[in-house]
Amino acid sequence: MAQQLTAAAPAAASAFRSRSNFTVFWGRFRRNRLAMGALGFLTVIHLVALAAHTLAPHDPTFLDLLDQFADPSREHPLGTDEAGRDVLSRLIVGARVSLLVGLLAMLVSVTVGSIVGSVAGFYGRAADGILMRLTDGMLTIPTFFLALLVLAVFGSSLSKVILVIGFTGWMVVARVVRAEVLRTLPQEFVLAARALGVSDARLLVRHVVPQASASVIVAATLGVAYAILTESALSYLGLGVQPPTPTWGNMLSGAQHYVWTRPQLAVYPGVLIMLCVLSYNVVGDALRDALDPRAGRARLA
Amino acid sequence: MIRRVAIVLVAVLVAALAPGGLQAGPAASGNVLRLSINGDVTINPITFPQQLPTTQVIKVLFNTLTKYNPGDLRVVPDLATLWTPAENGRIWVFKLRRGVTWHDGRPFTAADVKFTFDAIVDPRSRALYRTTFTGLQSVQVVDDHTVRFEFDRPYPSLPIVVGFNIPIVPRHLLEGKNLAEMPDFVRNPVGTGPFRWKEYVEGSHLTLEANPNYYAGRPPLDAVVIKIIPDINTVVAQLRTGELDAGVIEPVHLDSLRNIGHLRFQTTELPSAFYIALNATKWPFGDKKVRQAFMYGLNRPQIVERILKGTANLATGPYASAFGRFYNQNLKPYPYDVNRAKALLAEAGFRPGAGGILEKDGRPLSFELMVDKGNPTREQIALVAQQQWRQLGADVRLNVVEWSVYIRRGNQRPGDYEARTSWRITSPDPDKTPEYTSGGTVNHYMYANPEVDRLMAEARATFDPTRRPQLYHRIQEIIYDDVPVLWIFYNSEILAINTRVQNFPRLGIRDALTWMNMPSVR
Amino acid sequence: MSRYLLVRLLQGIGLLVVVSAVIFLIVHSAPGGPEILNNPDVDPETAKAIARDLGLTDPIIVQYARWVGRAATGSLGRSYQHQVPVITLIRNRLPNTLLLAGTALGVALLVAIPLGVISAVRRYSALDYMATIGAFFGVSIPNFWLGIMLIVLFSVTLGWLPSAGMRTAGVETGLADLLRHLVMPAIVLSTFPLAQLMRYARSSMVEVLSQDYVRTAQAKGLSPRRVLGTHALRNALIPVVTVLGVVTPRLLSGAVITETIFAWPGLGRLAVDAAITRDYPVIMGLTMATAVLVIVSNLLTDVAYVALDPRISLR
Repeated sequence: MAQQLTAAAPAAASAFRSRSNFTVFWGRFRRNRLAMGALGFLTVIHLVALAAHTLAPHDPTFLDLLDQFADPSREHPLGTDEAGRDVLSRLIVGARVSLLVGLLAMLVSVTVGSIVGSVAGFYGRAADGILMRLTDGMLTIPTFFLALLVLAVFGSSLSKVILVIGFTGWMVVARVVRAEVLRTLPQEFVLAARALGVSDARLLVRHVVPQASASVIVAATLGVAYAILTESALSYLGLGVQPPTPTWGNMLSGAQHYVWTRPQLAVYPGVLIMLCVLSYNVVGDALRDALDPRAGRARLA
Repeated sequence: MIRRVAIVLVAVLVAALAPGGLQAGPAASGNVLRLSINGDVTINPITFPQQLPTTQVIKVLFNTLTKYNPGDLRVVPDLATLWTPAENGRIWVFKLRRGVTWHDGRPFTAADVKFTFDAIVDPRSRALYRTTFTGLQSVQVVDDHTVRFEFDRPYPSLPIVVGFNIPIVPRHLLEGKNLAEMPDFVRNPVGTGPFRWKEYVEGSHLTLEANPNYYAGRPPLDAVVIKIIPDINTVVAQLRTGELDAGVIEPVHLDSLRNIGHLRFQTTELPSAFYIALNATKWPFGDKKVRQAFMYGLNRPQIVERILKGTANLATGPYASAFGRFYNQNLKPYPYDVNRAKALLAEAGFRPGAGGILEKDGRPLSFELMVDKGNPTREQIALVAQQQWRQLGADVRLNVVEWSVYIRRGNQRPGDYEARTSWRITSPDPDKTPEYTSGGTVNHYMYANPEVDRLMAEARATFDPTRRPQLYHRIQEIIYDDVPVLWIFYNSEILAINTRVQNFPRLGIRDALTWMNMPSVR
Repeated sequence: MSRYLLVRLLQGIGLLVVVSAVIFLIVHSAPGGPEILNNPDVDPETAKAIARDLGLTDPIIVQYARWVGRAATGSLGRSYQHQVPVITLIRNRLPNTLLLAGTALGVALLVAIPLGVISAVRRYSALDYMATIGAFFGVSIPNFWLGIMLIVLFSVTLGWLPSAGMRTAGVETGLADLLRHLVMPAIVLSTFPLAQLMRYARSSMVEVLSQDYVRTAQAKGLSPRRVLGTHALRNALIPVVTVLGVVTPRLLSGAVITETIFAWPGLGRLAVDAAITRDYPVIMGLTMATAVLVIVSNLLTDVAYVALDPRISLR
């Protein structure tokens, strides 16, 4: 998950500084066949999610009690579920919602993490001390317990699930960004900009933060995987996104009741969650390898 | 390093095992009935914390004055053997069973009964069922085996209600104690029931062992083991593997268990209905025609057949057939009739508006339906209602909420909702004052009909055995026409029982647990 | 060393205060209240009286101050739902969670480290690829799904293992019975840390193997076993130990789900119930207990660090 990053990521800094660097990076990435496969899968699944409402053959929330547990047919390629809803349509629209949760929660994490990390790194001293203690503190609490507590107490909805996952997953980004900021600050172009009287905020946004982008991209990729998995776990406890909105997580959780008679209802969303999370992890890992020159050397050697 | 880790691990393992892991349980025996509850228990028989699991275990450990007969729910003796009314039921004299002893060997007497009821009506004990005995003026010990109850008005239902969740508690252990919280008693409860407290492993299971001195004789079972299993799918798995002997399942699990050779099923109708409440204080549910329209527009037979798999009966009105002579057999269920529903909405002033949604005075027919989350049956019913009412031209938004929110928003007066699913498990007492009178404590949908208020007050104080049913029949007719709530089906409970169990009482699980001296296992 | 421990202790207490204040604020600021007040059978008058009994009608600052005051004297209050001291509840279940989490961690370490090391030494071998892909699956599988699948397979279909619980209830049980109950939940809980630790062990071993001193040792003609055992392994384990600090909270999070599926009588299940019924004293007590656990395990991680790496000393 996102924590995998702590050891190697700061070293991933130097990427994307120029076009030729990107070529080098892409050259490395492309050689990773597993990662290319994963990237392909993710591309397809995101396209499907984008066009979900066009692609879905039926309304995913339409019930037909006279057509429960229908076998696959031309009408319903994957059959219907316990309420006679079209399984394929639910998987397609579920992809949209699950990925939305994953991506938006990741955006929240990255935003919070970038702000915390850059402020801590840029201003140092007290700000750094307080913010990094906060980050360490958050890393040491079982964040899933925190997430479930907040959702149990305040009730869960799509937006709350996204916010809660986002606010419990920003710590790694904060650490990475801080490290990058600390590395960038003493460099000449920053000193020059400072000498020219560029404001702190502008300096941060225009010069310092972009330097961290490569590492943040890696963290973000792994963050999506974390968010999708967390949503499904929350769904199991009844605290994820609520019906009728389909997500892979709540489909999987609902399918438990039929695991003896209709195991396929649990297999479809389960496999999709696993493949999607797996792909994000593989791609994130490959990005890190490709962006990290040392890892590259080791592999070439 | 690995070795060091291994040593630490072994140490942790041993340390963790030492207090509980190696301890021996009760002697190995197959003569044990294994049941399940869905959470931990706190055996406080006055305040009932952790309500459902606690209630279930209390029913095995304690006795009530009366209880309900398997099959017909008739009121039969338990700790009381005979009860006689005076002054039309304003005064009741209960004769108590002789030779009953508490699990600690002390004799059970009338003083225990007086202590129990005094405790319940004392506001300081925070008793859960205090309002059941509003108007209780005194409980007198006539002799060791006779108690006299005096109310400020006739209370004909008393013998029914004392059989429901009113366990008699031991005075000699609880007198002078704070009954709202009893940290010692809850971990070492003493009752008069067929089984006594033996072991409680938190989060895991309880073992209740046979009471050799039980008044009806030592039970055939050596022990009842009650496992704590939070996830119903685990219950289903354990019923399949034979790790559980009986368990309540949902209709959705029937298909997967039906072909299991060692299981049989027992479906019991409870004296309560499952309904969708329409809040009369929220627009437009104050209008009777609108409520009737939603009743006609809901395909209730299909819900019963498809979602409940035919395990429950379609509801006609507020009273289930389980009420026996109080049940009005002349009423027939509202049919599913979309045209009638549409006509009623038109009569109520609704006209087609934008997007196929009806409107009245420019206000679209749109409302929120609240349902508790996690139960597949109830969620599906809400989904179906949403879809079917859409066909009438109503825009229904589902609000699936977590249990405590559902309870809190739902049980205020008036309820903080427009429509909600609901049900209430009660004793077979025909008095529905809390539900259907304008001041009723659980009338969160704010139904108010002065005629019903008057008849209900008259009926609850009427002792005459022919007059009383007539009053309740009339009440049902009025409520049937007013449709304060949309009754869908009478709650029923499906018990999956292992065929090795014999003589399991034909009752819902709550009442069945009061007869645990009956079953035996092969 | 002692100065270091003192600093860490003070930091730990600071963390406890902050965490407790935040959690207290979250749970008490939410609309509604504990489930015991919202029971449909409780009449409003009694509900108000219970709220007064529990001090829930006081301003939140007063309530928090009272909680801190009690906590400072070692009392975490009494559970609303269980009516027994929170300390008792935690004491009764902590060993079960430690047993489960400890076993899971043990399994993870015992499998992950050798596997990671072998993968690193035989880089790009079939075993390495399999281990890598397996590890990806390990961090990607929803653990409740894995749990249900294991129950379907091993309990119901094959009938080899009990489907839930920690001991066979109601009959005489021994260590073997406990172990049979422990197998599936431990596997489910260990999957994620196992995969994660394996990847760390592999990558850090790869790094160490490319270091000059290892090459020198090889050049000096030391046997591969000695090079690995004395030089490489020790250094490769240092980053792995770091990860342990991150893995511990993860294990406790995973225990919540695992304990629910397998009806394991531990803290995770207690946490879910407490959150749902808003049993404030239990929520606070559990928060404190987990925070202490994590602080202690971090401290142990640091100590292990020193033991492994002579260059580091605790100041």
